[in-house]
This record gives sequence, structure tokens and C-alpha cells, in this order.
Amino acid sequence: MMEKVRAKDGHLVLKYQGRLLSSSVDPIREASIWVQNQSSLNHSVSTLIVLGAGSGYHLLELEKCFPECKVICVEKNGEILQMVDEMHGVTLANVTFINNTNPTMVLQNGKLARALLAPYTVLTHEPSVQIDKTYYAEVNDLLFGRQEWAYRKLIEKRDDLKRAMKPVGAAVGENELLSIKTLVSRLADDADAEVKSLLLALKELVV
Amino acid sequence: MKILVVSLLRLGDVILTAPIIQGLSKKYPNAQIDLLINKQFEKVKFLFPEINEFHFFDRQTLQDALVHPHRPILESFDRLKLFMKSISGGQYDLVINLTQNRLSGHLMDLIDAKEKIGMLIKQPAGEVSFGSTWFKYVNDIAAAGAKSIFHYTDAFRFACAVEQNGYRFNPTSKQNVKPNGVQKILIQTQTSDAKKNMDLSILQEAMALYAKAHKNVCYRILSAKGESGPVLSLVENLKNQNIDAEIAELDLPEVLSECFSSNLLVTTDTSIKHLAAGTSIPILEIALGSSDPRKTGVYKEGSYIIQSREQCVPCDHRKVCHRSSHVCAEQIPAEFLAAMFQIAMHDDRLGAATLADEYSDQVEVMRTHFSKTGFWRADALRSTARPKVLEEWLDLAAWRFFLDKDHTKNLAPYGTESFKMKEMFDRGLVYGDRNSLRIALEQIEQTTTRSEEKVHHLISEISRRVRSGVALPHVDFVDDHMLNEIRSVELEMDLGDSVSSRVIHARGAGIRSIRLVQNALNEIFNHQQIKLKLVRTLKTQMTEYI
Repeated sequence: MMEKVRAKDGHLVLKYQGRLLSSSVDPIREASIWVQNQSSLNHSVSTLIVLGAGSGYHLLELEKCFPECKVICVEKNGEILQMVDEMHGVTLANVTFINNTNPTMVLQNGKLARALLAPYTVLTHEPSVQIDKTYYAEVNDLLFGRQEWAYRKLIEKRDDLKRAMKPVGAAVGENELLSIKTLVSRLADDADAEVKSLLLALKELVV
Repeated sequence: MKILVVSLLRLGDVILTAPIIQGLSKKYPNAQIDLLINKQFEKVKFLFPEINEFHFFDRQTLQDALVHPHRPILESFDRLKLFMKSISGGQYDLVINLTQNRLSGHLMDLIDAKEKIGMLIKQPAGEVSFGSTWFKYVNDIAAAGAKSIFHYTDAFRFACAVEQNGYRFNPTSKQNVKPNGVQKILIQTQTSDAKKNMDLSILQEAMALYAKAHKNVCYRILSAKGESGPVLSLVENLKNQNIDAEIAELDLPEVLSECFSSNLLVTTDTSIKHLAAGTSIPILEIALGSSDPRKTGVYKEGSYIIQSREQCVPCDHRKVCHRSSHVCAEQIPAEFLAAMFQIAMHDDRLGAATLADEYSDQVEVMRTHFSKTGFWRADALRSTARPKVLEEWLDLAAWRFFLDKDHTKNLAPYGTESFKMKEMFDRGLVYGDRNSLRIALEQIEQTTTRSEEKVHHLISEISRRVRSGVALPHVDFVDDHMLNEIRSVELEMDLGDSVSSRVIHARGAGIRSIRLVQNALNEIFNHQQIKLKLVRTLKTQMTEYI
């Protein structure tokens, strides 16, 4: 069950199945601290992909702190999305929301697919993710592309790399993550020169 | 004209781009010169007023994204792609890669430019090219362990055809004042490589000896901020002997300022050495471990370098020291080191030569200078080293002739080159005594003739084998016997493994690969021929002169 409750500072916050998605005292300050604590955040990415819409305050804070970045939010629960829209409306107009219950279908979103062609950071809004850990873990893996299945999905969206990589490459163990060395070993004989140079240069950084 | 210089190694290497950049700036006064360096060395910007724009390669961010499991697998790929696009957007006319490694070779392929020199790995075939005989020389000869080699800065300078001996940094605004009557000596003992660090007990003894023999000596032990731990006890012990010593935790601009206001820098192989070489301070370099002064010694006239004469020096920087103790550092006597402080401070050549002979069983003493023939040398000063020093001069002069293709000119300037050398000998540099010089030249002529014949024999034999086995795709053109012959020639000529390393590549690989070996031998043969001509011209000039 979804409800709106008023925090002590007067802002509305969401409560889903009895669980608060934001601070009931000062959600704005909480959002600000959340942004500050994101160690992977910096200004050199084009897109910030956020897992979980929460009560929307962390998204507002991201828009404020990173106006040059695109913000994309993946939220499984349509009800939460609707509430966030009601609460913030146009102030979150620049945030792209993706609502799909099938994690692998998330990549079908055109804006996300385009965003994946440039550096991006994945941020997790913990209270939202706790609602469906399995779903968000899968989306997370998909966006990182470090596992074989996720990498294959990711590469399908990359025309530049799809052509350069062998369809079936060096095998990776079940629990093993992919690395730059795996990618280099999968370079096709007729791979594009630019892709080849980029991957070989990166390989030199981890030797 | 837009020029991009690429230097993606360590701080010292970046500082050593100064003579190239200053030379390029003089050669092309209207050119826009940009510099690509590792982001961690942003702090060197103040040293390069000639640079229009700096590009910073963010190695750390790329590496972090590559190895961190919670970062997208393609993040580094996309970051690097964007970065290289922004570099190519500079629309450079000339890109010069002063980094001889595979990373820079791949990056060079990603930069659009009209002309590129320095290592380039061209995809999709992965062919390595250098765009200059000089960069090829650094890769094939200098890096292969040859003994008579050019300072890397000279090789790069010649590749860029810039005339610039040494370099000069501008004093920083907060210039320190040289105190009157006080000898201020800067000491840099620690490096990032423990094998290059000084033995602190020997250093302490030398500093104490020198301070007792001279009045008003003040030592400043340089240290990066927050890294003075290892030298604390050194300073404490000196203070206990009433010697004026203190730790100076300084950043680069502060060190530069100190160099302009001090009397001597005693240093191991560090970036501080290269920084100081752009100032007026006399320098005493202590080359330990893998430090190889021939390649990266202090690039300045009138500096002194001391190095242990242990067989293992210089060692391979990638390997741990196999000795039971740090012999190359322990072998430098304290009283000798103290005497060298005085010699280096006053550029006392005669004193240095005397000391070099006195301690010749333990230590090599070298003095640096820019010769009339146009290159930097650190010549050993002990008298027994003279024939070797002379041979090295001739080797380098011949390499320069060959690499600049002077020998192919209609009127090859052998006479001019040997005349420049003769002038140096007349000034007592390299060789003092004319008769022993003549004898040494005779000997060099004989050994060079022998070497030339041996190389010629190898070339002929390989050609014969290639002709008779050309139809066989997987044949060993070079068998073990011939490989041994090649190794013996390399050893005799101090060429490292510049040819044999290619033989191993070529074995069983057929006709195409053997061409690499033939080319290497032909280069060496040409070099020996040029050297012979120089020796003979020099001999004639010496006779005419007498």
C-alpha cells in the first residue's frame, strides 16, 4: 500500500508498505547528504542513472548539483512513479523515468540506449532498491556489463563494438567477471582500427 | 602550425621534455605547441610558458574504471574515446611522441595529424613505425642494451631536428636570496625506487666531514610534503654534531626557487635532478641501482656523476636487487663523497680526474658536457677509461652520421665532423696526450676493421642461405652456430642484444622475418664503415696538424 506522509519539515514523503522512502524529518537534507556520499559521482560523466525514484528529492538534488548531466531514473513500481510525478511535476521534467518490470527490457528505452554510448554512472537509492532487491540487482548488473549475459545485452546496443567483437569469445567462468583482457581476446580479426587501438591502449593500463 | 608533444611517463621524463619544447619553440616561433602528459603531473605547468594548451591523460580514472567491479565495463573505453576525439579536434600538423611504450603507440594511432613521429602502432595490422630513424634507434639500439648510446633527450632532439643544448627554467616569483658567506647544499636522498636510494650512514658521514672542513655550511634535506620520515634520523644525527641541517618539505616551485639560491645539489636519479638542471645550481648526481646516466643523466654542462663500478650496475629496474646488500650505494666511500661536494660545487676538473684515478677500483666519476659535435656526454674521468671514452665518442659520431643520413650525401662531411672532434682533443677534452691519442686511434681502427669484416661475413652468409632456401617457407635461416656468431659480434661491439633479439623472432618464421635481421646487420655494417672513415680522417688531420 502506498501513502503520502508529511515530514517534520513540512515536505511530503512516500511510504510504501509501511516503509518510508525518504527521511520523515528533513528529506531535502537527506537527499543532499545522499548526493555528497556518492563516491562514484563526478562531473566527467554524461549521464547519471539512478536506480529507484524514492520520494524524488534525491533526483531534484542531482539536477541541482549536476545540471550538465542527463539524469535517468529506473523505477519498477508504477505507483511510486505516479506519486513522484504528482509531488514534483515539472520540477523533475528533465529526468527521464523508465518503468519496466522486466529488467532486461530496460535497455529498450531509446534515451537510455543512447546514454550508454558515453560515460555514465549508476547510483543506487537504497530505500527504493530494498523494495525489490532482485530486480534492481539485475538492472545494476546489466548496466555494469561485467557478467557475460549482461555484457551481451549491452553490446547489442553498441554498433561500434558489436562489429568489432567476435560473436563468441574466450569463455569466462560462471562467477567470473569480464575484464579488459577478455574484451581484447574477443577482438575480431577485421575489427575497426579505432576500437582495436582503444582496447589495446586500455589493456596496457592494467598490465 | 600546431604541434602536440606527448610525454606519458614519469615526472622526470616530463621535465626532460623542456629542451625539446624550448627548441621547438625557437625553431617554429609562430607555432602553437601543446603538451599531453599524465594528469598527476598537472603541477609542472609553471615550467612550460611555451605551451599553449595542456592535455591531461587521466590514467588513474581510466585504471579505476577498468578494475572496479562496480563501474560499467565500457566506461574507460568511452572515456578514452572521447578524450582522443578531443585531442584529434586540435587538428595538429605534427605530433611528437616522446614516450617509447606501447600505450603511447596505440594512442598515437588515435590522433589525427598530418605528420607523426615517435612510436606509433598502426591498426588494424598492428605495425610499429617510428617516423624517424632516431626514434627507431632508441627502440632498437639504446633499449636493447648497447653501451655507446645517446642521452634520450639528444636522440629526441635530433629526431625533431632542434638545436638546443640544455634548457633553462625561469626563476619563480618568490625567489629566495642566496645568503652571504654560507654554503647552502641541497640533498635529495630518496626516490620512488628503493634501489636508487642513497646509503644514509655514508651520506651522513660525508656531510659531517665536509661541514667540519668548511665553515658556514648549511644542509637542506629535500623531501616531498609529508614524506620526510626516512631522513628524520639523518637530520637529528647531524644536528647532534652541531651541523646546520634541516628538512625542507617543498613542492616543485619551492624546490626550483631553492635551486636558484643554493650552492650545490646532491641528488640521486630523481625528477629534482632534471628540475635543477634547468637552473644555475651545480649538480652532483649519485647514480645507483638501475639509474643509467648515459640515457637520463643530468642534462647540463659541467655537472658530475658518480656511479659504483660493480658489474651489476646499472641493473634492470624491473628486477629486485639480487645482492645480499645494496652494494652500489654502500661502495661509495664517505671521504670521497665529501671531496666530490667541493669538486662539483666549483667544477674542478683536475681535482675530479685525480679523485677518479684514486678511487677507480670502486667508483666511476663522470663529468657532463655538450660537445662541439652537438651531443651530451658524461665522460669517465679516470685515465684508464680514455681509450673507451674515445671509442664511445666515435661510435656516437658515427651513429649520428648514419641516423641523419649524412653518409648518403654527395659530399659527406666526414672532414667537418672529425675536425670538430680534433678541436675537442686540442682543448684537452676526452684526451690529454696526443701520442696516446694516436695509438688509441690506431687500435680503434684495427678493432673496427675486424668488426666490420665479421658483420660483412654474417650478412653475406645470411644472403647465401636466403637465396638457397627461399622456396622453403619455414626454414631456419639463422642456426645456433650463426646465432652464436652474432652474439659474439654484439658482445665485441657492446651492442646489447640489438640483433640477436630479432633472430629469435625470426627463427623458423621464413623470409619476411629474416629481413629484420638483415636490416639490423646492415645498419651495424654501415655504422662501422662510417666510424672507420671518421677514424681515418681524424688520423690524417692529426698528422697534418703535427
